[in-house]
Amino acid sequence: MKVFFDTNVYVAEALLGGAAEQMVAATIAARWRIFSRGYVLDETQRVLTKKFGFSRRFGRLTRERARRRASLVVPPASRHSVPQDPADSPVLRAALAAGADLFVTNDTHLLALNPFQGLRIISMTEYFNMLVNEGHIVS
Amino acid sequence: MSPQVDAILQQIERLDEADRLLLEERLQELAETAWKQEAENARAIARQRDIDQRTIDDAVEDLRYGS
Repeated sequence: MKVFFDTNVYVAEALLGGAAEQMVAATIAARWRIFSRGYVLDETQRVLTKKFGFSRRFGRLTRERARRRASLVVPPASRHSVPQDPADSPVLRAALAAGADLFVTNDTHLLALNPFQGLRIISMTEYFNMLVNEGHIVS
Repeated sequence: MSPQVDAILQQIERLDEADRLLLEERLQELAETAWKQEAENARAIARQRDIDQRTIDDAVEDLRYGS
């Protein structure tokens, strides 16, 4: 299984632990592949530091930690980039370029596109429940 | 780059493959420990500020779409 986590997952893992931390850990334990791209890692760092005011050190450590656990993809450049168009999202394009089976996000704009070009887009809650149902997380 | 860092890098370059892998492993462990310490503090602050999943999702969308 190939999984692409959106920024929501990494920020929640860092600040809340709990379900987000469990789902990432269970994904690694299941030996499923996690994909990401620099854009998501940068965004994770920016949400922590710029939006929530946490330290640059914490932002950097969180970014590096996510990087260590993921394979990075570099999607081809969009031929006609449409700023703020969810279907042209750099995150979505990266998930497609990775050939991901699942794209886990709580971005309502992106969830509304499910399914998108064969990519299944699911919320963090749906993914967590899927892991529980498949026995990867014991609730 | 300080002379100390330069010297360390030269030492690393002289390591054989096995030692280099051990060093990488140890550095990752140190980074993980550092992250856990920072995360513990950040989570305590997040609780004080009532940051929850909804707050995080809104912050991501705000940064992403400027809503």
